[in-house]
Amino acid sequence: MTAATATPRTASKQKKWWTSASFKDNMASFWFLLPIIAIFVILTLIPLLQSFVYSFTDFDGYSTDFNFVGLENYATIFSDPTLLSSVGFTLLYAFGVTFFVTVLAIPLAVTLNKAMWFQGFARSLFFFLSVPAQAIIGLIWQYIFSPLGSGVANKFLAIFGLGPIGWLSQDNLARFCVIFVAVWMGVGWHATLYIAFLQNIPKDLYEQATVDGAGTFQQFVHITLPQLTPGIVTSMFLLMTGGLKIYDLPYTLTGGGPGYATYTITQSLLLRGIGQSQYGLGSALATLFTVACILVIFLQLAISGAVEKRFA
Amino acid sequence: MKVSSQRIVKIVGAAVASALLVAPLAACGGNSAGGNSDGKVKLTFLSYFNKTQIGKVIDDFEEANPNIQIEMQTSKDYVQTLQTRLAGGEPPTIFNLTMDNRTDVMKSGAALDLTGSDFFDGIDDSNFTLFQNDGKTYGMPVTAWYGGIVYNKDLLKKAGYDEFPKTWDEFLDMGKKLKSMGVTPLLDSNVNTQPSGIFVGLLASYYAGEGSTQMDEDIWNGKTTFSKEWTPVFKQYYRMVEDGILGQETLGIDGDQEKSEFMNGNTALYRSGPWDLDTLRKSGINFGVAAFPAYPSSEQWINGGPDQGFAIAAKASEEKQEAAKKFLAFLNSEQGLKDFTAGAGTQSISSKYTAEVPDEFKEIVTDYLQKSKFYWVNWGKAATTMVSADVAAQQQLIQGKLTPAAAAAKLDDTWNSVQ
Repeated sequence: MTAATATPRTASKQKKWWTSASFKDNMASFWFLLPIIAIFVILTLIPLLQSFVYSFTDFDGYSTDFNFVGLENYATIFSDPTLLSSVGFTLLYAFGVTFFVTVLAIPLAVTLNKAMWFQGFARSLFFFLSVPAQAIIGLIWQYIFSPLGSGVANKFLAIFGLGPIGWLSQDNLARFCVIFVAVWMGVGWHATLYIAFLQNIPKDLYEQATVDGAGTFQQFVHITLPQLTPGIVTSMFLLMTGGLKIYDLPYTLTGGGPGYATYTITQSLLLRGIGQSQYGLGSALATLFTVACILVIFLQLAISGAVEKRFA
Repeated sequence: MKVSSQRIVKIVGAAVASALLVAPLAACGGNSAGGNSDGKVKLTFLSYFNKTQIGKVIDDFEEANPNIQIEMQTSKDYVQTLQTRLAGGEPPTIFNLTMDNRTDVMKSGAALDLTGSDFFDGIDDSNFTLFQNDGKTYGMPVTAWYGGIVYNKDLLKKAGYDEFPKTWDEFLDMGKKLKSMGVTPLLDSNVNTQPSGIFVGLLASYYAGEGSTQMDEDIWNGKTTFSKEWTPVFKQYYRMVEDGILGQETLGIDGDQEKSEFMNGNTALYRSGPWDLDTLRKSGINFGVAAFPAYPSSEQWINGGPDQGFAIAAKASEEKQEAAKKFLAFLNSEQGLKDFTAGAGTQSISSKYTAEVPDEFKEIVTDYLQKSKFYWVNWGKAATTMVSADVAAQQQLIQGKLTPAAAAAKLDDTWNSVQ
């Protein structure tokens, strides 16, 4: 009797797992996500896999006949000083911009979050800096940082009897200029991001701290910063991913020069893959670049996670 | 199986969303059919030249050939766009072979063999050399470009010169005098984007003095090296840096800034050509145009060479290829050449039309262009990479970070790496 009643129950359970409400809901979500999954697969995943395959070939981008060359492309990358130079500047740029934007955007956000009569205008003004395309900003700053005496920055210095300075004609100054412009562009946008997080911090915390005798700086260090940790993680993640794949700004501001001083990985990738008709080599560089980005991002997430736990 | 109406709504919603998102992708596919619904043969033309330069040629061609329609496309990254379309199997019917991609495109088989075409008539065979591979011709150039040194006559007069110096030593002396007057003698923004026109003028003069007819061909063929051929010229060019005639401020500027400095009277000379003529005339500056000063014991040369070649896709249908050939024939006609040279500010190399040469450039056209004393570096392979290496070498030479010999050696390294 027991066995006889158990069998239909099991069968009923087996039927229910795919007719259950939760499964139906999941399937509905799946159908809605299907278009974007399809586009991701077609436009991102398949080209990525193709690039991975091409990285082991001598594909030139024109002819569909190519040969497998093993790890030859990868060996070339590690023996090319130009490519190594581009890796150096890209890392400097990514870490430099991430550091300076974070250090400047947080105090700016705190300031812009205070009640001021021109608060809306000030927020819009800083946010606007990030609106134009990087390529356009690069061209504008090329005139400002022109090494000629007629350059805007040099004309300003001339008022004080200084200069002219070869902003874009000396290696370190050119690197500084590229990072400076990127920071100038990014601070306002990231400050806006931080403002959103700042507005979620309970005011009670500050009131209690004031009652306990904590000063403004102490409140910033012990309340604002810890409460902003999720915002810092998000902002730094965006800055780091954007920094590693930078192309437009140095390309228009310095063209990668002088020499190879401001040359980036993405420039190398395009030059090799497209300019030199070495898709295989360009694909190998892209593969290594993707792996390096994933490693850097995971490392950053691990550190951020640990910091978040500490302040949770 | 019972399906609820709510579920049907969800599935239909998802299907519609999918269709809306995927539909634009389907639209990316090319129309492989030869004709249009209106019976016209529709050609696509991925042009290196912009609408101002070649638009009138297309308009007049369509007027003369009402059954053919040309859809002109341009791209800021012309070489990359063409390469992507060729690799993707969607070539434009007509395209340009540029100095950067000609070798790769010809070797890939993407261009139609045009050898011996009737519409080449009037263009000297020597102009086709750049667009030939394995004895076959894949592109037709119809115009040539040229450039020299543009100088401020008033500033030179103040320095004691009624005429532009003819030799390199005289040129350097003049530069020192201009410098002592507080004038920037020269800007060379070319060094930031391409081989310096002044360097190439000097190189051509050096080759002529050596009695070479092969120019850089021997380097491309491995018979000689940059170190051997270019080092002496880099040494002469570097004398400008040593004498303070060419300063580091030339790094990091673009052509517009250079031109602006010249028109404001801050700089005495720069390398230019007919493309700047309108602006220079409008500025009201008293300017002249000269050939580049000669390498020691040699003669003066100018920059120049055949323009981009016009090619037809080998993959295009026979009907489209025939229509495209008609376009090339029109381009090499009196009307086509008149439209194109007027739009692009270039010189016809076809006997079917001779454009009026602007007065300012008459001397260098008559004495140099028409006497084949013009030259430009057309890299035998991997042009984009070689240009990038050359730009870096020039900049580091001006910075004093590379010696002339080291700059040439860097080019050898890059050249060897692209073989």
